[in-house]
Amino acid sequence: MCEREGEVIDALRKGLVNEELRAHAASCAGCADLIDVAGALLEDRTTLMRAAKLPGSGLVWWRAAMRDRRETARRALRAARIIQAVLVMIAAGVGIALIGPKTINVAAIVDAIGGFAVPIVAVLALLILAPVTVYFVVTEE
Amino acid sequence: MDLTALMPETTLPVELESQTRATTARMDEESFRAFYDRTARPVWAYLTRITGDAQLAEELLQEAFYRFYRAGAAYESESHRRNSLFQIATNLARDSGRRRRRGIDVPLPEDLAGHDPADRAASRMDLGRAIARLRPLQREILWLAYAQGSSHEEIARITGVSRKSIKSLLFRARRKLAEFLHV
Repeated sequence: MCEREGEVIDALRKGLVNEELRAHAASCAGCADLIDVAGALLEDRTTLMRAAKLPGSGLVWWRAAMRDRRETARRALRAARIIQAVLVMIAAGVGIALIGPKTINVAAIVDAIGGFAVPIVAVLALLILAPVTVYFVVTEE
Repeated sequence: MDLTALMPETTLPVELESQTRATTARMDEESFRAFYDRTARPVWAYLTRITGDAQLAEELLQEAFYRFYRAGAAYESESHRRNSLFQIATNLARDSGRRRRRGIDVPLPEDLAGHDPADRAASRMDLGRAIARLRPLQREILWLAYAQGSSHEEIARITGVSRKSIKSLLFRARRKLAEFLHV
């Protein structure tokens, strides 16, 4: 690389590539490439920026803010649904634990496992229902 | 139009740098809009050239600003903030390129052609075609270095390439583009 490249780039940015630099570029392949490439890119950038027809900052701000609110609301709703689902599962588990032993009449089993029947049935029900309910809530999103 | 936005980006005046220093959390409307006014055109020009599609560039630009806003990160300076925006834009363009998986064939925004003298429009068309023949990373590095005026360190941060590699990558990309321009 030529040590005068920095000088060439500065001159290109200022639009002041003098004869001396051009004469140097004529005998330096690196600087000649630099003038061609960097000069073309700088000009292209200026032209593109002048011609750009972009939405105003107010509109972009409004869209971003609205989208942000929607996204925040969506996340809050999703969290609320998960909590709701967990509560429903707990209630179902407790209900099964309370009603189940009576209707099934498994007195012998209850006697066998002592006083842990209710919590065990509740936990089992929760373990079975929880993944299923969470799956349906998440896939709905 | 703010003509200062047309100049290659280097650093902002000291007073503006200090105003934006250590800005934390999400931007308020005034800051966001001022930042957009300063940076939207250069980012759009960058996206237009690295994607080859002006329409897509506008979509990516808005997405980039949304993600930037949503990130709500703290920035040490205006240049740090601007580089983060360019980084987001670069990643979006890469993702978009991966999704499209097809050639780039729109080097010139249609609405520009009618306003240019024929030879200048043709010249820029040639440049657009030549750039489109480069690899995406080469396009990014060339534009950031020469059109945007970014330092090697800034280019490394934006593109995710190691700083040591930038010099040689830039040299090769420049050689390649010069060849394509002369064909």
